[in-house]
Amino acid sequence: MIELKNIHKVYRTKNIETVALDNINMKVEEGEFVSIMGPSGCGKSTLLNIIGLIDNPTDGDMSVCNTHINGQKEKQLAAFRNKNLGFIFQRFHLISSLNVLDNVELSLIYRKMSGAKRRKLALETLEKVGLSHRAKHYPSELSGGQCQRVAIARAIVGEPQLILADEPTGNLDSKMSEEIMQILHDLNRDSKTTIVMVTHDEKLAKQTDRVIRFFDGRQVN
Amino acid sequence: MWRTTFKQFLILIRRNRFFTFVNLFGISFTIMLVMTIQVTFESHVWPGGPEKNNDKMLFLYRTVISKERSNSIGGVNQRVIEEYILKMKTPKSIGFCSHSDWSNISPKGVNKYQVKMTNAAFMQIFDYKIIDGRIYTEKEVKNSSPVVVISESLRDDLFGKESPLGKTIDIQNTAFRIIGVIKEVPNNCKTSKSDIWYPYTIKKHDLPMLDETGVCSVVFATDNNDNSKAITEELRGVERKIEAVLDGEDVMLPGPYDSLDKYFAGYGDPRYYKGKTVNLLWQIGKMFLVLLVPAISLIALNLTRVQERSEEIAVRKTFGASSMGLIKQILFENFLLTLIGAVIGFVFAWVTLEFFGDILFSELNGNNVTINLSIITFFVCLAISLILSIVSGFIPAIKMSKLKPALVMKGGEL
Repeated sequence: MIELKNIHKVYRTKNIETVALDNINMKVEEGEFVSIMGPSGCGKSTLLNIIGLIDNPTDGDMSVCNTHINGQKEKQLAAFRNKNLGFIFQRFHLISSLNVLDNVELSLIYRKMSGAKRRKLALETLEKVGLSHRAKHYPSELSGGQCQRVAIARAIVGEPQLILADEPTGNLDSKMSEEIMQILHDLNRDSKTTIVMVTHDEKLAKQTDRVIRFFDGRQVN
Repeated sequence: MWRTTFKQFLILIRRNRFFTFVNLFGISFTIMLVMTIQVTFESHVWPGGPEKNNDKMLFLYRTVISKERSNSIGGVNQRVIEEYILKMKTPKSIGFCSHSDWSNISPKGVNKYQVKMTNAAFMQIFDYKIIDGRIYTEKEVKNSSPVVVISESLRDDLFGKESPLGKTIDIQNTAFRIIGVIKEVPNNCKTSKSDIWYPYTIKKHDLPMLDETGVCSVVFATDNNDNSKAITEELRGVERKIEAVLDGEDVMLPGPYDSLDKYFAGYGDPRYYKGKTVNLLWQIGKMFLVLLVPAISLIALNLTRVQERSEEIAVRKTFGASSMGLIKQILFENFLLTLIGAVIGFVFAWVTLEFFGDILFSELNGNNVTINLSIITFFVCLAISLILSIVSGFIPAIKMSKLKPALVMKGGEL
């Protein structure tokens, strides 16, 4: 599903060169639920962004969803993300000017699909995360847990092969965190969706199939 | 996608009211300004009234006679008209007139009226609306019959609402019989406008010499095939014929001009007139300058808005929006906003022309000017809106499309 070979990421400014990722080699199998752990600034999110094709590695070779990525154009990457990847963020990143239903529809509007079908799929997905009754509400009218469930609905509505979750429970209390983790586990189990999750929480990481640990931009296990 | 974009646009303009107000004010004020200029321009070039068919007319109203270093610029000489121009074959018909004023002293005070001395064709080429009686015939012109046609306002001043037909009026020491009344001609119909029309043959005077300029102006009616080129060629031939008779003088009969040329050339020295294309480009250039100021302000405003919307754009990119798709979205939103501004600007322009038209058209006596907020104006307005929206939205859209989602998600700067 995911294969990274010799991935490097270096941030350069005029005076400073910061190595964010140093020679990362890893594989994630199809249907796996993998968590990435490590202290702040160790490169977890950078790695997730690179796997999610929203950031480029400085060097290295990679394939995502069994597709070799290097050298693809921006438009192709956008279409690839839209079709194959789903994202969940710690801070939800819902669009405040759109209601819940429109937020969930977001990834579908970049596909060739009728408005009615989009709406139907979005409502069905909201039903799955238990928020269909909030379809017409705006993000500001929801609790943190509800926002994250909307974000999950947005990530899965397009039935992606891979979900990338960047500290999905980081802004939630423990009860809400458990609820969100349950949804992710159900998704992994029922739809065989591959999930890569960045977390600080050892307890949550242990619930996943495999834990990959990072320190100072390097894989340590 | 567009439905969602439209919905979001409506929410955005409602939420950020200050931004919406400033944006709409800038757009509508600019469009009002441009439309007012456009309407003023149109009312000069296509004034309607008796000149509504001026696309089938050519005008000759200047003569330049040069010899060595001396030049003489004036109107068209009546001898040139009678001996050369009226003999031209290509125009469908040829009208001409000279102008003067008549002051009528009455117990109410002194009123000044415009007088036109014309041939019969002049009265037929223009689409005068006769509300009583008739216009004079070629025979009456040839026989120097003392007949006169007056305007509606002159009739009202002299006779009230009763018909003046058959009554006698003393103008410039000649007693005329009134044979017709013409609906008031709008003030912007400068070529056809008058209060009094009578045959040019009434006033007997010696014709000027060929090497003199005159006081007349000529209007050529073109045929349906628009034979303007042939008329122009023939007029060049007239120049050569006159020069052949004269003793080394150069004769220039500029034009004949169509309405656009006539507007741009005005009464300046025709030797330096660069043609309508150059003038039109210059006019468009000035209009762009007018548009540039609000466009720059809107660019600045939109850039600020891009900053505010960076999270949304990052999310859209993450979920599959391409850069081109985002550019289209921003331009679409901008176009919608500009379109609303254009509609408001259209209303502003209408109000301005309705209530401040007298000031705008002061050189034409303000009142009685036909103002057309025509379909052309509307499309010009639409085109300007489109240009304004593209100009003001393009740079922000490009900036937005280049945004790096990973950086925004981390909370970094754009």
